Amino acid sequence: MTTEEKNILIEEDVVSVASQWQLMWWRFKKHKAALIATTIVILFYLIAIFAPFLASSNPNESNVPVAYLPPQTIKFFDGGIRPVVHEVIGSRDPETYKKVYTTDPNNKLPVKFFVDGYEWKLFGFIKTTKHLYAVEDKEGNIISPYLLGSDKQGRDLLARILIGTRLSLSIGLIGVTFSLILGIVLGGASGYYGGWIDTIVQRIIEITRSIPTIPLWIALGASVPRDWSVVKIYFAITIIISLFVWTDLGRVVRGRFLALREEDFVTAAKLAGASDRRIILRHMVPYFASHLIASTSLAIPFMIISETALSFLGLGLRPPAVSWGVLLQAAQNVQTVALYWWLTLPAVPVTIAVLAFNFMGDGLRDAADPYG
Amino acid sequence: MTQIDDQNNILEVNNLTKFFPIKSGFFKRVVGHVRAVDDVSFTLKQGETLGLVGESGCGKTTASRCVLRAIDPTSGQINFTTSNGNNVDMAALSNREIRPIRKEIQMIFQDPFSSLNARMTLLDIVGEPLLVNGMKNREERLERVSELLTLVGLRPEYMQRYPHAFSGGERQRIGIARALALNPRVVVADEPVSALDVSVQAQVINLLMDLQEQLKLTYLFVAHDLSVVKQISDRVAVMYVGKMVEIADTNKLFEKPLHPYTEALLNAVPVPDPRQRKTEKKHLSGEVANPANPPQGCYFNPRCPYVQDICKTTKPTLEEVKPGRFVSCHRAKELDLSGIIK
Amino acid sequence: MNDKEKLLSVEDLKIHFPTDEGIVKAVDGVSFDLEAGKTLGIVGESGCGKSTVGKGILNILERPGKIAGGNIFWNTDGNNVDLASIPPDSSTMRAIRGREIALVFQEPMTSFSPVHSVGNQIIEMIMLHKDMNKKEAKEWAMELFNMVGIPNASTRIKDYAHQFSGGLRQRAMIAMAISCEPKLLIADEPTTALDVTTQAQILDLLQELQEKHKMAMILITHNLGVVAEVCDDVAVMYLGRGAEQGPVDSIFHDSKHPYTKGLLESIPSINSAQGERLKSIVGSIPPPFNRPKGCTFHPRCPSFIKDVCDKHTPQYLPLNDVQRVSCFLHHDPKKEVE
Repeated sequence: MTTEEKNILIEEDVVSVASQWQLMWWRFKKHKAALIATTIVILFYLIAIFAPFLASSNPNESNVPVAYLPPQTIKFFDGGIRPVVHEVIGSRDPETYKKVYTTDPNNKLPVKFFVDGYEWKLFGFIKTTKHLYAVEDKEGNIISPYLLGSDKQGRDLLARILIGTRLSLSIGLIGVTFSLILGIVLGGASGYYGGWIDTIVQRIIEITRSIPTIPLWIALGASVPRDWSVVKIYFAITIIISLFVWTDLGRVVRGRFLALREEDFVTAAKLAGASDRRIILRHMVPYFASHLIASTSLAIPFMIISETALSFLGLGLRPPAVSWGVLLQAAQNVQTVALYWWLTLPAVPVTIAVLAFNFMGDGLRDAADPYG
Repeated sequence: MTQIDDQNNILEVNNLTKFFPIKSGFFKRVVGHVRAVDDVSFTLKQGETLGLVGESGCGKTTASRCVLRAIDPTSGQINFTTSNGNNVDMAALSNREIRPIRKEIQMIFQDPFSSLNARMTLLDIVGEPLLVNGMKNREERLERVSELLTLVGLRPEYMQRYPHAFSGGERQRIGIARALALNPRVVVADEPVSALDVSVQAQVINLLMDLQEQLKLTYLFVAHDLSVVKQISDRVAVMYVGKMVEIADTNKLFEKPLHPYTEALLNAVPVPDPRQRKTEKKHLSGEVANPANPPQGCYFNPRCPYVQDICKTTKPTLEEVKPGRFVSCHRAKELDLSGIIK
Repeated sequence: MNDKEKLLSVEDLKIHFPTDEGIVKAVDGVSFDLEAGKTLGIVGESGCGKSTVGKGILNILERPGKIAGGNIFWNTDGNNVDLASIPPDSSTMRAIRGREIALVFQEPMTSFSPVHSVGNQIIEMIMLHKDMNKKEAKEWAMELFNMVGIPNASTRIKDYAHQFSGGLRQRAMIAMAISCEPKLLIADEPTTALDVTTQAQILDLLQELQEKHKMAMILITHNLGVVAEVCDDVAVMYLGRGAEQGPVDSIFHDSKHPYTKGLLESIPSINSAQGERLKSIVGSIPPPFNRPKGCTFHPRCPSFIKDVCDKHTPQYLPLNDVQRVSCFLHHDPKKEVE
């Protein structure tokens, strides 16, 4: 036997004993765009976890003297070894009373890494004051450069975008979890039992899907009491969005159940004497789990967009909560956008995240049935 | 009362009926019935192979699934002699009561792809009937599965592989191993070779015949391919639009059928020998009747070349016209029909 | 065979499907000739490439398939065209498709559009290829319906494909195929989806039409019974290559290739005794990638010659005037090219 033949044999054996998830992974790996997208998605969640570490200024701390500061840049080669940031001096234009900022190239503030700043909690319980970078001013105070500029109250936009990642992306995850539970329970009951349960669930789905979303959102969003806490509003919004998204997942689950009920291998299990529980858990669920994961990952970007849209309209999360949608509220008016263009920057992560999730979902969907 | 008259019979099906409701409209009202199996009776003798033949939609598959209680019959009796000598009417049992009997009647499926769960290894697939019937010890299962795989001509070393590593013929062997796991006495084979390539078909047919001899199995062999049925069956039962039209010993049926439909069916089979090309062609005209709206009288009358007035008004019944020969035709005794073997 | 009598002559046809996993050589060297008015059966099991040959002749291959070599000479009215060399969407090819060579598929349901009536689709086809106005085309379509045995032509012509039964749909498909009186009808498993009694009807119909219109026919099937009933000549294929071809009687009674012999022995015959064991070919058909080296049949062959069949690829050479075989039992391996 030549080595080439041996290699073929070994390769074949690996495939022969490969489980569904291995086959799926091999297939997914071939989808380059999906792989890149998955990396981006993972990066986003890492950012969400370590946001305060990356943001050296406190995103909620106002600093009115530097309101509407345009983005500052870090100069990497400006004399010394250390990267520096030029100091900015603010003044009022005597005619328009507009605040004008000028950089002073002679006044170099060195960038320092792993500095101590405001206190935050890693994973919610490990107290730390470390931050990735900051600059030190003449008096030795640690301050942060405004790399993406500041808002009306002089808060660091970059810090706010980073912190906003947490709400914007978690609303997708938590919302999808709600939808998944609703979808599996209602869709599953509908598909497995059929009959009148099926009819009722299907009518509910049809009615839900036929309601125009924006007006309903406005109504539901407006009905959330103004005096609720940030957390309460957050969950209310998540549930409102889930109420729409579950219908898709419910349909996927129902369709799979209906198709699988008639499959020969399910009949075979029944004839072998397997219980309903075993048939559902051992035979049916693994069969559509992969499809469900793919559908779920495609539902997340919809959630992110919905949250952004609702918050932008002022119906979703409200300050002091920080999400990408809330940040974009500041860019609602044309005049602001014209004068302070950097306020539209929160739209960039929204676009990237949504695209990444979509590509990842596409890849998962293609890989979901490795036997097809 | 359930009673099996003949001691040789392992299974007796009496007046089996399965109607599927046709639903329509928003409220899913029942507007009619498809008479998939319409008052069918037959018996299975211990150790024999009964071929159940007919064209698509004739109800042969539905009838066989009723015997397995994979679907619940509308009415009728399915009397089965269990291994401990009891007679039970399987049609009357609840889903719970049927479970202990399931292991005595097992099934082989047509499609070697959809009948195996692609997400399970051979060990789990073939071992599932053992596991759910109380063989909890993994070592014991491993041993039994390897025994079964050897029995059907597969290497036991392949146990950890998934079905996607096997060809259609090999998958069909896996399905057979699963069916035999619980030592059944009756095996219902639903078109077990029709999805396979010609060169592989023969292997599986031979295997089924060997296993029958070795394990004293009784087969209900559902098929549309008459040459395969001829090869494997001791007796043949022919169905047409949900009705049983003829039952006879294989050779007698092929030599001299008694029902005009059987005659037509036999003569339609192309013979793989150019020297036996049929000079005169006796082919049926028209289409198979709709089982939701069958014709008056004998269901075959619109296509029958020997039709008379009585056929259009009165339904014939299945009668034993000679010992062991059952036929459902008003003119069975007078017609002289031609078979295809001398 | 005189060259003038050949209507179609396929020489060393190769059809490849480049995929991510490698090139699938669906057809890898197939040759056959067909005389006008005759019927050629192409038989083989799954993966042998018989359907691909049928589609290749009309160059209607599914993506990413393409003709990778060989010739398909189409010889009518003194014109000799190589169908393999003209672009698949050229006007010459389009003119040949449907008008000179027509195709009947296994599953007629998907061959008709569900949103147009069957009659309209046939009328459209007639108007596209024949010089007829709508009225004439409609009359001709009704005549075709009568010809193929569809009852109540005048009402059925308005029906949609789903309103037809399997047998009637196949008749309608045949009506559409013969609407332009083609010189060659390629029937790809035309009866596989049908019951035996309907199959017999359709085969009768095809033979009747063939005689009446002096059509040649290529019948692609896996059913040796159908071949024995209908064909004049037979080509047997295995894994993309021609194994053997010859007149129907020689294939069934004097077969040369061990694969043909094995295939014939493994079909249950209506004449064999009940309970008798069948002879079968060992092993199974290998997957499309990773085909055996040398003669592709050698791992399953009972007459396998070590160091010959597994090392060299047999050529598809004529044995005499009418038979052709690709096997070292009949050709000296020394003469073979590596």
